[in-house]
Amino acid sequence: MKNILAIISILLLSLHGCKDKNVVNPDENTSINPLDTLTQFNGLVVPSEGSVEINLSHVFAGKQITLNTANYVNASNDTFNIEDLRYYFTNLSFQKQNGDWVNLKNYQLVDIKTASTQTFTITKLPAGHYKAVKYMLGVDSVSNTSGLQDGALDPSWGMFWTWNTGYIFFRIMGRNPNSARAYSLDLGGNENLPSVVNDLNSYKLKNKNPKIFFEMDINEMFQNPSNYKFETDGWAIHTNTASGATKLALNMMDMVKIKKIE
Amino acid sequence: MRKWLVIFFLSLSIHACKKDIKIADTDTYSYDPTPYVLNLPQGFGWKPFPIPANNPLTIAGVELGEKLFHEKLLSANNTQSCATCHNPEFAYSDFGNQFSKGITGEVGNRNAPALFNLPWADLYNQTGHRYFWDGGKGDLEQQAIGPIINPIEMASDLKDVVRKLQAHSEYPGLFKRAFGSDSITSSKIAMALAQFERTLISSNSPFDKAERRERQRTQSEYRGMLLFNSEGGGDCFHCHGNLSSPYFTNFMFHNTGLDESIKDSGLYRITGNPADIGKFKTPSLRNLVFTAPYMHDGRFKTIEEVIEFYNSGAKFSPTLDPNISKHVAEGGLNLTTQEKEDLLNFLISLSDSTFIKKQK
Repeated sequence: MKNILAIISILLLSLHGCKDKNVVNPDENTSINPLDTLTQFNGLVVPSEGSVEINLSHVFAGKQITLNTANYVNASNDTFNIEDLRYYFTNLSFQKQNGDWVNLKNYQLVDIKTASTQTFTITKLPAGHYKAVKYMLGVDSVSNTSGLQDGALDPSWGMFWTWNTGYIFFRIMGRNPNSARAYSLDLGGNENLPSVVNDLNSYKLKNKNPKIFFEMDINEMFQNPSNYKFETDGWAIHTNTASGATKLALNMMDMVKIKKIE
Repeated sequence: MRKWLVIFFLSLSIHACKKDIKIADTDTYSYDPTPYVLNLPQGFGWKPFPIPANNPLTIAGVELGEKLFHEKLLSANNTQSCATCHNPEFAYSDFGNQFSKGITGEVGNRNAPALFNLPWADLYNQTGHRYFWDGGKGDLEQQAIGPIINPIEMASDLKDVVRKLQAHSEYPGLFKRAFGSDSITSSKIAMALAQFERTLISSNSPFDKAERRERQRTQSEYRGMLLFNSEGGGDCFHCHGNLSSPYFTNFMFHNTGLDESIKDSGLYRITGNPADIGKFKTPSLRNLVFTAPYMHDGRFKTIEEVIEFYNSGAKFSPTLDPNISKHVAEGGLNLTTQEKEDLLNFLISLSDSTFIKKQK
């Protein structure tokens, strides 16, 4: 009797199993990627894992920067040229529609004098539907203080103070052509790390390998929210504790815009 | 006891290896592409440098390069070799001479630079202006030809050099061994010289030993090191590298305020860019003890004079480096006597006596 019951229950169980398998579940059985079928959307859709190409251009108040010979005037009425511009562009992250961030953990040292550093590709961009992009103009606190590193974070690139204070995030140099007075601003220190967020939902693009064209406006680092003046805030900033450093870092949060995405 | 036996056998086997190489050496005239294994320093920020794919280091190539470096046939009247002004006894500098005399007795206007740790410029300088005081050449191969043909240096015609070496009893065989053909060309001469120069690595100064915990820094050296890396101190690091970079140069070009009115235009002569007027290559601060006098024009005889120049002597000019300009505007670095001495002691600790070799 016991045996018969056992056999029946096994049969029942297996029948039940068969039934389940035969049910068509539209969500699980579809081979179509929902990101591919998405027609009504805002933002950036990456239908399958790809890569993103970053292009950085540099302007002052909207005009393409000419090194050395062009003079610029900031909100504090300082007149100056630009002779050197180097900075870290790191931790490029994309925000999903649900708010989660995906960090591609890139480290790029951009040099205005070297075109090849201004266009670069970051691989392993995960499939997703993204509404914003974020990056640091500097080095995150973990990498900033974690021993000898390679590539862009090799200290011999000269963008480095000590293991205590870490990297120089952003360097700009030049002079006032009239007085010959020079400025040299080196921003660094974990407490002065500018990070920039740009909206993607005002764009509508589906591309496995998108290209994002960023434009950095140097004028913005001297204004919004507070004006920077060389005479009072410093001709030189070379330590993390310099008073002008915090001002610059806050101003820099809006210095990069997206020009176009394709 | 067993340990000693192991060492004994190991040394026997090393001995055997050496012998093998010697046997191979006797066959001078066959191509020998055996790679030269560079003894690159490890740790503390040292990185491998790029080597051109068309000129890999081989034992035969490096040996030929060293022989050519000491070869007086490279000069028009067979009186000077590269080593005449780049003396291995002084870290390949012309110690004590502000300007070196060429074969005619004429002098130039630049101090013969010391030669060591050169090829890291290929890694860290992306501008294409890397060698000579004024960045005149972008790679070591091209650079090597410059002094051979410069009329106030070795003053040769390259065709004559090739002809003299081709007629020599040894060189055709040595070129065949290094490059596979006994037909000598000027580019092969340059390639061999560049191979040799890539092996000139200096990484064993008291500073390096302190980094490796093989010695302790003196108190004064330590204070000097902090001054080197501090903006309110010597502020040397902007151009000569931070303390996590082992090269003590940023491989770039700067006007450091030597003159108010600039006589030697430096990098400008090469680029034609007015912003480069008066800019010269940042030299490494290693081996200063062996490489006096200092600056591109050798104007300072002692390290003390150089420190005093940066302390109180730098002058404004239109292309003055912004990091120097700041100190000039503030009336100099204002270092105390003790601070200058500390800085000096730190700089002296960067000199590597194990790099010094007898002149051949």
